Amino acid sequence: MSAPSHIEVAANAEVTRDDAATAASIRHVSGYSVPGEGSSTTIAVVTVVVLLLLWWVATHNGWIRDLFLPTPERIITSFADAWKGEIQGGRPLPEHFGWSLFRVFTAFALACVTAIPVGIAMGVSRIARGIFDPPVEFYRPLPPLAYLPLIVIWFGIEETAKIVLIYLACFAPLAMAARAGVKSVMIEQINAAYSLGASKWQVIRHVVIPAALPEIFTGMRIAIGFGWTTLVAAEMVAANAGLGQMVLNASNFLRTDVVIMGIFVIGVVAYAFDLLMRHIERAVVPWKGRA
Amino acid sequence: MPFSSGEIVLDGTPVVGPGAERGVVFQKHALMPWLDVVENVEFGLKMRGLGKAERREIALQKLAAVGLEKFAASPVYQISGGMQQRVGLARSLASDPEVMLMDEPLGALDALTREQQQELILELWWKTQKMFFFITHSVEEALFLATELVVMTPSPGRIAHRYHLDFGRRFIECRNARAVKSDPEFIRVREEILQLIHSAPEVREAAQ
Repeated sequence: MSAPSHIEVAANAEVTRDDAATAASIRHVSGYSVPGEGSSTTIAVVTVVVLLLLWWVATHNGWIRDLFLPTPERIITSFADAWKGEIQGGRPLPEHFGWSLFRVFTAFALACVTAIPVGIAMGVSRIARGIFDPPVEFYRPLPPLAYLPLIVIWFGIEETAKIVLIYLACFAPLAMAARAGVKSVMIEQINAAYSLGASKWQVIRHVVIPAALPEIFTGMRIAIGFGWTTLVAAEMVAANAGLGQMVLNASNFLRTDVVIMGIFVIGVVAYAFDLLMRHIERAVVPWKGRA
Repeated sequence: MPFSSGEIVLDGTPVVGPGAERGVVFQKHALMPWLDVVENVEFGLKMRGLGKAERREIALQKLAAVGLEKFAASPVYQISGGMQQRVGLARSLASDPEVMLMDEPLGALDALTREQQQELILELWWKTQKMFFFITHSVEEALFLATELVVMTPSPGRIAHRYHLDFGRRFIECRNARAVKSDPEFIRVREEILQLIHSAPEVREAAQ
């Protein structure tokens, strides 16, 4: 008990030494903050505003040619034109959007119903791990563009090929996340369930799968990101509708405004979906990071 | 882990693996954060196929026994460490086991909460009339709770001494833990056991 009382004595001594002027004020201690603490929202907003201003100034003063970077207003105009279908190809933006959404979400849904069970099986069964580990680990680091030609040879140039490509891009991160989720179960929870009379299947159903859910949600967010990334590659092949196709087609006609507008639309949709996923995550796995 | 020699028998039946007739309370609470408090207590009953109404009734009863009936619908990650251990206790009791195995269940709690939990465990032991098998590193806790105390020496774990004690029963009679723990007899046995542990050759070696 001697150590704490020493500190107290030292602190008291310091207070009496310079209390006359600063008795009420608290001395601020600097240099001991956790690296990266504090809110960055204000700085982020300022950054975005500065970038937009810089864009506006640069394009209006002719620093950059219109072909490389059109004015912000042109992007808005091209959005309005595209909405009505007054662009190359004649399809309105909602139709492009609908096709892309259909491809990404069909592939993502198929990946969820297959990759999550496969990942869980890899986590709980030595046999499943042995079967699925080599193929998944082999193709996982491959860029989708590398196996796109093979997919075209196997599945042709119709919708199937596009969905298969996006599906493959989503599958690996989802399976890996489900497997990691299974491994994150605390051994005490499994022992507790066994000691309460649970069978092995009940342990998997009532302990392992719920405990893996937070990781699975993270995997779903990563997978849908991969899906959007792969969309443009999938729509490079013989598509006549879709956001990726619209962007590629506009670039062929040097319509930079439509290209940038298309990029913004894909970005906003992907971000909005990620926000939705985070919201669902908070509702379904509220214990994440707290237990 | 296979044992090197001897056998484990419960009421004449050899023990080969985990089972609901032996309730376990762990050092870490090992609750399921995706279930609320009462659902955690129901867990074992659900695994054994009891109906919802029936298991809810038993679970609420056990929660009341550990003083947590008000927290039945709370998420387990929002209650304190002491409460979490009590939920773990109620969960084991819900399966109505023949024996309760408690592996340092109070080890992670602060000193004050720990003493309250000791009293709660004694009361549960008295009310349920079950056998409690309790592992602890605290000599005082062991003396206070045990009717039969087995003192073990550190690695290799050997039985150094056995005591038959009644401090727990004295508490049940007088409900005054401080009086029991400050009794000269309690202090004498405590010093004797500490002497026994510290005189073990392994401990003396480690201290040097």
